[in-house]
Amino acid sequence: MAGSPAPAGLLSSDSRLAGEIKALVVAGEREKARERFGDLVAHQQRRALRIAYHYLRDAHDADEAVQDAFVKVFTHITGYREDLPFEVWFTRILVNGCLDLRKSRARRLRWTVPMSPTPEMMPIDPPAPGQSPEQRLVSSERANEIAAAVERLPDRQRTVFTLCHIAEQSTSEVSQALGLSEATVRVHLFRAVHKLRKLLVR
Amino acid sequence: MKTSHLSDDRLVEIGLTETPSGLEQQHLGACPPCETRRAGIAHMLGQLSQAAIEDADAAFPADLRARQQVRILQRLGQEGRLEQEGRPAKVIAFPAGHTPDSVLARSRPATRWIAAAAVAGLVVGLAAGRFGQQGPRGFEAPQAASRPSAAPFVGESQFRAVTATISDDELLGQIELAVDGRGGASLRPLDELTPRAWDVR
Repeated sequence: MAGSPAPAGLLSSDSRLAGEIKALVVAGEREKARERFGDLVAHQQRRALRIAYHYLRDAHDADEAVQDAFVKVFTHITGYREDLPFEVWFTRILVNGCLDLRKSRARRLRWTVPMSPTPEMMPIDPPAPGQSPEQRLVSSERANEIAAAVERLPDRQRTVFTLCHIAEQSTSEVSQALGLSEATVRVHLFRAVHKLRKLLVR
Repeated sequence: MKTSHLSDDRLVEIGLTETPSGLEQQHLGACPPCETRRAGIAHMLGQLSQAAIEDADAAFPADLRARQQVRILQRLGQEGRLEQEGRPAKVIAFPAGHTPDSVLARSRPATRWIAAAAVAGLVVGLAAGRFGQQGPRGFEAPQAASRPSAAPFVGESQFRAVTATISDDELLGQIELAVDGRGGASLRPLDELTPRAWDVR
């Protein structure tokens, strides 16, 4: 069932850390809490950036979404339930923020006229170390192809797929994060993979 | 041993979340086509995850992540300071209770003038609105019917309609007052250049 608490012994170290931070904030030791929060940011940041970047496909927007999610987590830390995994709570906040950003970006785009890109405006892909230019070209083409295919998934399927495969969360964690039953998560995941196979198999 | 081949759907399920049952495991071991299909699906899933992760990691190298951490902690520090100072998004009530009576007494006549000017502006605005809506074919007020119709003033009938409630002198005085204001004087050349609503019709 979605949202059921995990046994206290099974909680991750980040969940325990979040509990500590909450206790510090409640005790009025905000400065100490902020210092400890730095550790939590360091642990969760990479995963958060992967999720946000995969959702938004824009480094600037992903940066903003992740920053906002962490700030929101800290300012609402007293609402954190220590019996639930911190990752699930945080992922939920982050995904909601990403969805809001996507919506506002779509609204913005409706009112702007797209410019034809000039060579200076083209994004430069950072070169992967140890690859020849040809390999880089092929892998960046494939990455773009994959990103475009994932982009074409319906919202729910994309969310489930992103969390399971990019954020490396279990279907049970995803079900808690999204408030869906585990069976529903599996169905979305299954459909997403089916669609991706159709789009990507050459 | 399971003799029929495993469906694509089942192979996807196995690749995603489940471990194959004993029979399926045996079948996969003995059936090269099914094993090849399973390996293909597993490869695709691995490729998807890897590409996405590499893509995101390349967009946020270590130095960018370090800068982001600093920025997050700075933002938390700022929010904390604002909270301590009691500043975040508080609307401060206007201190009406502390205003000396003498100040209020002095300001009242001015307030009355402002109110009177606003009323005059409203009347002029309503009159102008009526010209715009009705054009030259508007109704005529009864007392204006006997007036000589020689004056070729556009929208004359609408003026007469307004005069049904206030006198001509009063109305003209209000218009002069409105036009002679500082804003009105600067706008007059522009006003002369632009057509009236009834001219356009």
